[in-house]
Amino acid sequence: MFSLFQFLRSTVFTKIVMAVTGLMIVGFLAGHLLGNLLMFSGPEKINAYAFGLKSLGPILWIVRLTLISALGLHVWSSIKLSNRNRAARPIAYQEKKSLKSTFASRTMMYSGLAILFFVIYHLLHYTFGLIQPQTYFDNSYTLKSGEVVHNVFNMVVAGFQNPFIALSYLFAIIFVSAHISHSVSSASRTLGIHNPKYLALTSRIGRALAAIFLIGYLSIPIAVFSGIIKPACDNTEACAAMKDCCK
Amino acid sequence: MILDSKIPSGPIEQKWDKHRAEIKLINPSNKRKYSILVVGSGLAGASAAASLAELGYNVDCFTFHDTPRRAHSIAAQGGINAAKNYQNDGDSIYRLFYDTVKGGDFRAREGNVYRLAQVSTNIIDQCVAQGVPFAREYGGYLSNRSFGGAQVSRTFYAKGQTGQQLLLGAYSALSRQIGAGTVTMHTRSEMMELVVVDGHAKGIVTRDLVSGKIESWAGDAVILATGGYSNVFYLSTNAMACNVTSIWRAHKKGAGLANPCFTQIHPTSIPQHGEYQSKLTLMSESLRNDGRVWVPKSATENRAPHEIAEHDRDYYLERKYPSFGNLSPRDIASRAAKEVCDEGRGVGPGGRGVYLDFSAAIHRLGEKTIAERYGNLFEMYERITGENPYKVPMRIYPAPHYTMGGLWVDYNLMSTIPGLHVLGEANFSDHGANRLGASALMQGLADGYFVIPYTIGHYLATDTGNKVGTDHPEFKKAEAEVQARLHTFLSIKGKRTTSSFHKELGMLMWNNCGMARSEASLQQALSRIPEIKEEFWNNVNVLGSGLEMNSALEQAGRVADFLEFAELMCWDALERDESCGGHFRTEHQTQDGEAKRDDQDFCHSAVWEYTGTNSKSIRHKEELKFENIQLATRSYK
Amino acid sequence: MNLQLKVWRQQNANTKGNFTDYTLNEISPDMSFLEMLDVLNEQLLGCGQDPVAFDHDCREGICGSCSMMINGKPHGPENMTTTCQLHMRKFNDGDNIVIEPWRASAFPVIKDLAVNRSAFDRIIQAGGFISVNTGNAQDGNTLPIPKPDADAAMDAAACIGCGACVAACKNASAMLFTAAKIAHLGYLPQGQPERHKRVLRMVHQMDSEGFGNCTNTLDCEAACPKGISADNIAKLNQDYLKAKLRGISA
Repeated sequence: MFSLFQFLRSTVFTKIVMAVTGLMIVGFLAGHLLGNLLMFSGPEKINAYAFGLKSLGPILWIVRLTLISALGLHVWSSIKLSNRNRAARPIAYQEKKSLKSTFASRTMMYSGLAILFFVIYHLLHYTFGLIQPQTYFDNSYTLKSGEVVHNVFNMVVAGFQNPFIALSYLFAIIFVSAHISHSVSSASRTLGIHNPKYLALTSRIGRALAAIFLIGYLSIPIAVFSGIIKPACDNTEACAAMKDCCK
Repeated sequence: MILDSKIPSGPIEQKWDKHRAEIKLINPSNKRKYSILVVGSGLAGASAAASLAELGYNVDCFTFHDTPRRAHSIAAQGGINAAKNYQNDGDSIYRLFYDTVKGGDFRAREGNVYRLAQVSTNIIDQCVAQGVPFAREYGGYLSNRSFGGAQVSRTFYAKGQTGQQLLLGAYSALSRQIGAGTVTMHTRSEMMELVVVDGHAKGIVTRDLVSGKIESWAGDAVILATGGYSNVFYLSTNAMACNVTSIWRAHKKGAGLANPCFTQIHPTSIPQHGEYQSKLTLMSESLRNDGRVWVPKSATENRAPHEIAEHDRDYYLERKYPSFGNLSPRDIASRAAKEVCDEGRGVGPGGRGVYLDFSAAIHRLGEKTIAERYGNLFEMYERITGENPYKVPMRIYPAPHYTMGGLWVDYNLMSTIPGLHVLGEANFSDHGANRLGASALMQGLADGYFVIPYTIGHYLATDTGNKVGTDHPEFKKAEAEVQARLHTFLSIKGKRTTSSFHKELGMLMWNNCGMARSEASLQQALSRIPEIKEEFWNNVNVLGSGLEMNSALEQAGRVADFLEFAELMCWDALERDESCGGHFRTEHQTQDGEAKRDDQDFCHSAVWEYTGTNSKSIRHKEELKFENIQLATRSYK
Repeated sequence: MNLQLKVWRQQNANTKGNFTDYTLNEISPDMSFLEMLDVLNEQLLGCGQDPVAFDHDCREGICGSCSMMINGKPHGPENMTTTCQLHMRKFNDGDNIVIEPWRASAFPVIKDLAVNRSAFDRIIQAGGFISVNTGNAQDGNTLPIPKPDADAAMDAAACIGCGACVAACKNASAMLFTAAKIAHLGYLPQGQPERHKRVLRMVHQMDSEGFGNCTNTLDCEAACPKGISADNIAKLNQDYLKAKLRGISA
């Protein structure tokens, strides 16, 4: 009576897909943050790290494809479910109070949508180099080992020195943080954790992660913008174009 | 009218087994050829519909609610009795039988009551198997409490929501059959008329409460499980929609109506607080296990309860009934409350209330224990009254609650109309003149799960009548009558609402045929009711049309039937010239105000036969024989 | 006290509804909310207008009939309280009160404030039971059930099927209702044989009825007049996942 097809159609299953892919993305965000924080250790570390990642070759692609599919499934399931939810209440209430729900939990769709746009922008910016091409393509760094690599450090600094870009990141990170604050406990519930003790723990973890991500991710643009992180001086044109270069 | 109770011969312990061995069966493959109409989806109706469908019958079940889970059985709080003797405290089938007959003041049929006690144990097993979450001890075994004046702990309960859980159990069994297609459920569908063909009940006419459509349904047998008629008093603990219509319609078609004056007044309801009030809320009787009932000794007392010194209080139940005290049976506790209020010692607005005080229990057991036992009831009380019963004593007053009278049925639960079976509160069978606490749930489920599945087969196997369809002229005639009635309500276009008539009738019945009745009060009611009826049919205002959801129209039909029924109830109370159980005639009391039975002249059930609108109904008697329990004065001193 | 009411009026399922304003005077604070509506209806009948239709019956908070959105909250401002048990002393003189029906495509309006909740019945019919015929049962004490399990089952079984959870949920999801029944039977040993089939069937039926899905915002448990915990939803999810991982078909 129940085929795999029906399994895929079930809302509970779709939620499970959303939960699993969401948690994968949370894991990625945690790793990404740790990597990003290398900005505070100076150009050598982060450039070597970025170079290391790139030289993983096929493994990097496997990870990238996995993440892209996770994101894709996450978006697909959210579209599917929110269409359904809209259809479930065709006439809105004249007056509707929120009882226990948090603002973040009610606006997952909007924060998610904002994050999706940001992810595209972010990829265009730092992965494809299309937003500030001058800081991306003519920007290299020589590691202590003598290897010439892409100067990720200066690329990031150049980006965040631009107040518009810094501001857009600020908003994006707030959306990410709001999204995460609900997602961990929600995903745990969807995956069947029902012991009240563990549920309380997952919502604490969710809020803690949201705070860590907010502080961690924002610390970089703030540090750059306020001049705590200065560009690595390499006497290139790109460097010369930046504030505080070689000071 | 022939009243053959069909009680099997032989020793009482063997009657039911013997009967089951002797009654005719229907071949399993033939069962699906029979269709049974079940009206009502409460404990009795849902359990019957589910059990009959499991056996293979085609069942149609009707309820005026939006779903079968709403029936008023759901509101029973306290529990359900069963002679399991799990507590090793001396309970037995015989003792439950004895307590029920004695509690009913010797006005119930021994054979039926014994069977009820016998199957009580099966009910618990069945409900446990369905997943009813009865209270358990730490060892994992079923917990019991003593309830409603019983001296053994035989009451099974699920928090304060036993009725709800049992009903949901029956509802789940019914839902399973609906899902399997063996029961067709008709919700928001009210029975308007019974159809009798050649003397046999063959169908019903219903009104769809959403579309207003009048429809006929034919069946090989009809089961009424439509509850009691406490709402004849307007204010009662019954749900708003509870009514007498289905049994009254059946009565007018020839079914004998037995002991309509036997009504139970529950002692622990929240007192009325205003004119606009629509219903009374019951507080579970279990509260009397730890609460002490009192009023001030002086009628002129006007201090707050906690300021009244111990020696100025009258714990009247403990004083008058030292061995049962606050746990005295319902009729006795109710009447005692009325008595002290009549003396002017009642408390609260209007002086119709007595205190139910937990301060001694809180002092003895701690607030935590009391909260564990009664927390939800205390919250409910506070929600309704705005008073905190942990600090201020509760105020309670008796309220109409249950009706022991109903359609007369034989041992097979069949009325005087062949094929018409009546279950649960709608019949008169098991509680005599007073019902013990936690016995209503027991009877409803006993009838539905364990009696009707056997006995209806016997009727179907022996019924020689032909199958009829809804095209039979009797159906057309009944439909036309229903249409005409509805049309009349809508065309009167008077000045008064249906509920104003209901209130007026209720007040009259409460004052004149309530907790205490006298020849004078009943005569007065009997002269007043026809006047109200007359005004109703000339001055009621029902708006809208019959082809839509129209609650005023629904109510009009019910109130019209209550008006007719009330008259019969008063006649029954008048002609039962004795006091027994819930029927207290002020002319018949002992020196200290107890009910005085007259076994010489009234050891019978009074069964009324309808003879037409303008002629008085005929009172028949079914003599009651007590072969296993000796008639005795009921004493709870 | 005097009140301004804004009540949803809708002739039947096929017509469009709208809000109508009413003024009520001299309402006693001791009245229940439904008694206040009774007064309104008597007033309407008095001037030849159609009374407001609403579902109600027991008026003691257990039958689950009453269902209305009062000022944006199912059953009104008081927690753990059904509309029938809500009393006017919770309001103030001069208050504006907005009264709407439950709004969900799975609960179509029948008239005014009355909605059709038979979708709930169909969810139960799909599997919200233990398949035991009358007469099958063994002695009730044959199967000891640990008290915590029995208590947890009772807490979940307290559902009155009113639909406040659906009404409160921003997605009009019926997960709390469905989960309460699954948890009730899932805590008990009697419920085990059909545990996995049950969850698959009930979820399937729930989805077919057109309810939204659960986004774990927990507004449902806050609106539930019986305080049923949304943790039961997580239990449903677990049962569902297990059933699927074990390859059970319904």
